[in-house]
Amino acid sequence: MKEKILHLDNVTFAYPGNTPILEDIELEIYRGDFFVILGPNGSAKTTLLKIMLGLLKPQKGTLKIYKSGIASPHMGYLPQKASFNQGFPATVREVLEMTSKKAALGNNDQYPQINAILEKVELQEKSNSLLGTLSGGQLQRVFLARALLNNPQILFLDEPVNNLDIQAQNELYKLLHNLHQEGLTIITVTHDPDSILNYASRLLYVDKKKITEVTKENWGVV
Amino acid sequence: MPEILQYTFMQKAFIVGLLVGGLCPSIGIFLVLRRFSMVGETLAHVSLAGVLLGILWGISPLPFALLVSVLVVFVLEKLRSVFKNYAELSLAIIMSAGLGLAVVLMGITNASDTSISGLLFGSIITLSNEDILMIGLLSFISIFVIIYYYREFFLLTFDEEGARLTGIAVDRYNYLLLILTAMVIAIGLRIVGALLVSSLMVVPVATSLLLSRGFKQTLLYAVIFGILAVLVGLIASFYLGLAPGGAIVLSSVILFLILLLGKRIRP
Repeated sequence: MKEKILHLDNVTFAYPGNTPILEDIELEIYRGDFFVILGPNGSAKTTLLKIMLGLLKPQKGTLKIYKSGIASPHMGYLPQKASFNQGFPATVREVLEMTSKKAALGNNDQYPQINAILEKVELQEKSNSLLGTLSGGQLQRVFLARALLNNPQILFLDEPVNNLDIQAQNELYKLLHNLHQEGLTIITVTHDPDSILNYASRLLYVDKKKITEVTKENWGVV
Repeated sequence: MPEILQYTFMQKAFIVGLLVGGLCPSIGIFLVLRRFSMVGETLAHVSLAGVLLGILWGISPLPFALLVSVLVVFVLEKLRSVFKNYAELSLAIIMSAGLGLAVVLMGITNASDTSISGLLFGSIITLSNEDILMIGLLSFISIFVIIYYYREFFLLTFDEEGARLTGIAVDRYNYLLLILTAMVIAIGLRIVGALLVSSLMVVPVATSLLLSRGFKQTLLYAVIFGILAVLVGLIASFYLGLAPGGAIVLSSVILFLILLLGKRIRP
């Protein structure tokens, strides 16, 4: 039987002073899902993702995260457009060390994990580079590395291949596929599903305040 | 011992100056990188009104100024949530209120021109032992908080949403950062003056960003540049009879210009 990891129970959400953009959402995510959220621009895909992350509080309904033995389930999140200041004078390694609480406290045991993640996202050679000197694709991978720190239970991604060239897109998909194969639960938002369909295990279509789960076979019909 | 260090008032000025020179940029780096550079300026004007209120009511001015600034921090955050899309508007409102009140109080308190000028532009001869004790205590607390919450301030400054996801209570640390700013301004007010103290939060950081190779290094260089500016400024003010606040801030600007030019010539 599949193990439930996240549950949106009858959730309705509206931004302050506006009418709801998501209504009565009922959704269950299972461990090991590669869950892809699709829908037209402005259909509240990112909002749905942020509700699942606990960054937005719904007016009605609840978000339940099932810990499955982990004391404090950690969520990895790769935002669509990182809101950080491009001139922030930190190196790749500094960002990762500060994100990892133990490493920030000077615990050297964390360094192998940081090195392994840097290797995974192929940024070893850039570890001492300033963020401002990196390309868009490399920055994307820094934020992915940050999301993967502290062994997240679920990895959330919002339009992860936006602003990436085809080669960088393929590399990212390959990496996500590998992470999924290793057992990580992945939830990703995209408005351009063609390239990610091969990897997805479940598809969700968001539009007009409602969600509909679709199969790969009938995706074309939707 | 060099002549400059034979005077007790200069010894006090150096002690306070070094603390101010190191502390202002340590907080300033977080403000500058969060694009909050004007917060220092705003709280400094409020502190000025606080000091004058303290004088008027016969209460120890420095702690009272700090209390007023901390209260204003809460008003500021409240206003910022009202004017969400115009973050700098709340700063402008508070700054105007602080300066307006200060000007009115200057008239009411009948303070002498010397003490007013000391408040505005800094003074090294009026530091009392009580001031030194208070400044020492506030500096100790500030240094401790900055070191202890370094990671939280770093992540908050880097990316608020990401910080929230790593379990950091973003609002709480926002307040803490602003309260620290108020404390550091209270420390710097006596020696650099209300109109110039916030420059010491910004200019050494700008200088340091020119050389930046990482966050820790930027912070370290900003502290060094802040301390250097205070040393040069105090020495210049002693030997040339200049206003200490002005001399300190000008030294830090000159240091910035030298590095900027150096970078232009040898990028």
